[in-house]
Amino acid sequence: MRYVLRRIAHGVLLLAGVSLLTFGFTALAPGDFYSDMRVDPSIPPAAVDALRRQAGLDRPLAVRYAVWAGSALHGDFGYSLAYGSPVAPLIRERLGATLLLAGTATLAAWLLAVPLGIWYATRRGWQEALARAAVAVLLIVPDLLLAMVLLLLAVETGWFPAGGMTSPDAAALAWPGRVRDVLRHLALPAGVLAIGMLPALVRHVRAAMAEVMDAPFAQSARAHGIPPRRLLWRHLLPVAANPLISLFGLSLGTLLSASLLVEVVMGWPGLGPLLVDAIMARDVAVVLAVVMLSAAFLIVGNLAADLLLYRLDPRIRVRR
Amino acid sequence: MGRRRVAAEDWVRVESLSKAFGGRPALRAVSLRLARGRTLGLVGPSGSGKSTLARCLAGFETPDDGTISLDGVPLARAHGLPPVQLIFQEAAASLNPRFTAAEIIAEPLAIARRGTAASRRKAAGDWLVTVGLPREAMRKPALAFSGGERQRLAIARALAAEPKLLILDESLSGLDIVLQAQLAALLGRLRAQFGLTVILITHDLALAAWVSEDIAVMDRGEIVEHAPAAELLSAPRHPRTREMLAASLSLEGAEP
Amino acid sequence: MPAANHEPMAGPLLEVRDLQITRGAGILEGVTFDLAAGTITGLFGESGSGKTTLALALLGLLPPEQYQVAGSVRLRGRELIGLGERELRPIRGAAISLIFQDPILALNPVMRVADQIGEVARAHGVEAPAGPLLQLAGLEDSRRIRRAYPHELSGGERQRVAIAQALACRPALVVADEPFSALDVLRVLELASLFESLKRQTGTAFLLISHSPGVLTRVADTVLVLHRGKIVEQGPPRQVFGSPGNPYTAAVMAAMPRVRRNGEAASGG
Repeated sequence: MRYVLRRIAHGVLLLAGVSLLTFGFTALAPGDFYSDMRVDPSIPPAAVDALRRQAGLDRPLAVRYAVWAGSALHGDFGYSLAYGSPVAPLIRERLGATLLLAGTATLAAWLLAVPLGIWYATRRGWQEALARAAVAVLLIVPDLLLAMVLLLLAVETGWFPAGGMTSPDAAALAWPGRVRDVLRHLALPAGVLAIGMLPALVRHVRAAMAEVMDAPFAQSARAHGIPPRRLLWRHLLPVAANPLISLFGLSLGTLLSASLLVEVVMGWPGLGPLLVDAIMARDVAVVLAVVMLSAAFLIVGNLAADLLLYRLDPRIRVRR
Repeated sequence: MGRRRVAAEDWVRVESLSKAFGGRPALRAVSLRLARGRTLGLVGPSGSGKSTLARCLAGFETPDDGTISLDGVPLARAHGLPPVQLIFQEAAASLNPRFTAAEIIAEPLAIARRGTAASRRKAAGDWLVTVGLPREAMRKPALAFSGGERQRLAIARALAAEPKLLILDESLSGLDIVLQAQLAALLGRLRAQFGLTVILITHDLALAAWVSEDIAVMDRGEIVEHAPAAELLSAPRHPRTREMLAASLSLEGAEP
Repeated sequence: MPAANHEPMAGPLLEVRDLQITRGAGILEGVTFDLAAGTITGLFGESGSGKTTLALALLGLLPPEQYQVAGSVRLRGRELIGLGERELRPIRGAAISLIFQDPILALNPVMRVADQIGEVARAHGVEAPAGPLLQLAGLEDSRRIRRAYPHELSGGERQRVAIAQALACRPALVVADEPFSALDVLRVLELASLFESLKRQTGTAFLLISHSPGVLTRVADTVLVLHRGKIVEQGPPRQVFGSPGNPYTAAVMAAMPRVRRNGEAASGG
């Protein structure tokens, strides 16, 4: 218990640091939300200045940070200048979409990677070489390229929608119809993400399995007549799981950040496009909130991985 | 600070050494003196604290209490080449399999920046010959050597560091008898040639008696008996010693 | 405890004839010996003599891509050489058990002791409650040990867990690879007594691999001496070690350190 509390305390400190850095970086970028307006000849400078003062952008950096931090601690993450609404509800609606995409893709990638990795680990000769080549090819292909190819496919064939999370007329459908609609939209982006994650995961699973397959305890189990299938799943996999559990925790941690690119390219209405737009527009409040959320996920993901490992691997509980 | 003249009997001096691991005492106020050039056999059942004592002597563990000094210098203040060299049971496990024999032997010298790269290479070659391996084997990686040869490599590396005290922690245990005899003979030659001070840790009383001049028996973190080998074997005093002697005799087929 | 899993029989339990194993170079050659049921046989040899390879070969555990095995190994008259994996699996752990060297490595690190024993029983479709087996192996505190993971046990306890596991399906033969190596002299005697009592109580035959003449003299009914892949001597240990008939054994006995009665240690003769 004490351990968890200590980790949470660390996490909070980390988040504070992240917020400071992010704030600093965005402030370093020249200009602010109203810079474009300044260039527009039809808007008098006085009006721009008035707007800036109203948004509090004329106050010194430290003061602005303190104000932000103060209200953040109360759950008020500021006001989005670009969207004209408080940040929190804005983020909430996008967060769901991102989690749906990233969650589905991560789950799919892991569910595929484990059996594939195990199969790969048991291959020799030409089958092994083929597997190795396939993984390498998948690793090399950039997510971006894959996304664009699939989008092209979608447009040309009409099998899948080419963007968005719902069809315009979806609201009129009954509940099962709406679900099907979302799933059709989800298929391509989740596919791209999952394929992007797959090769590295497969290799990790393979490496973990290969290490245990030749271990003395595996030989001993074979010498006791344990059949191969049971040996694999009941004897080897639990031991090989250790590094994989840590990896899974990391997967959880990067749930928010992994899908950013795919969301933007494939038009999925998640946090990705929100963040990119906010950065371009220098909508500081939104940028801060999204980055903090990402950092929080990472911290929680790591903590979850460590706790899971502690729970599942009896060797770790002995502290010498 | 000037150094006192150290009496030869106090070459290795351990005073009231104590060490506990998580509440469980491994060493209880152990005191020991070893004269220069002598060989001590440290015997005792598993868990008696022999390895812990060795690790404290080698500086791998910090004792909770007590002092260790070598040639008058407290261990904590020794610098340069480590004055105590420890050789483990599984030499194979303690040598980097990718390093060549020359690199392994010269490593302590390299770390302490003794001499030039060329002089260290030559020294490595010399040591290889001294432990009975061909000089050309310098370039071979450690994994190309057999188990017994790797044990010799470990000994060469330890000696290259010119230690004041050499400790072998079960290094001759688990080896088949012929190999053990060869290594013990090598050790004997090296002791004579270089005037080494040696502690041999083993659970084999017969081996200890054969190789060492003195024997110390450890039991549950204490030294319960310490006497010249012949005396200990003919007139053992502590029950633990008697027990081990009886067991060894019974294994040899003689009546205890 | 019921007797070992075999019918009373006329001939030897295990007959090995001209066993030859190569892996590139030769490892074993012309190995011929018999093992009688309910006896303890010692396999004595130096490192590299082929002892472990022989043990693995008896169970067909040498990967065929690397090892070429020729000759005959008959268990109760049934030929084992050349059998496929499917036919060997019912034999492994059930008719012949192998205890690997160094139990900390040979036990699954994330499985409790009771489960590990249970897995062997399950694989062969027998009922083998862990408690009685652990007690048979000399572990009184079987409740604690049943629930423990290997790293929570002492070295001696792990050794006995491995023995209990090997006995789960009441095999006719148990092969133990260097069970005495890492032990101090007091533990060695305890373990030797355990093997003796197991032989009496269960009628299991044992093949004990060791490089200690003392232990084998104490516990073995016959000893096989393996040198460079060939059996150079076999017979009762007192004879093999007491009056060695071949130069290798003689050299070993000469090199062995002893504690003599009069307190003078010397190496052998």
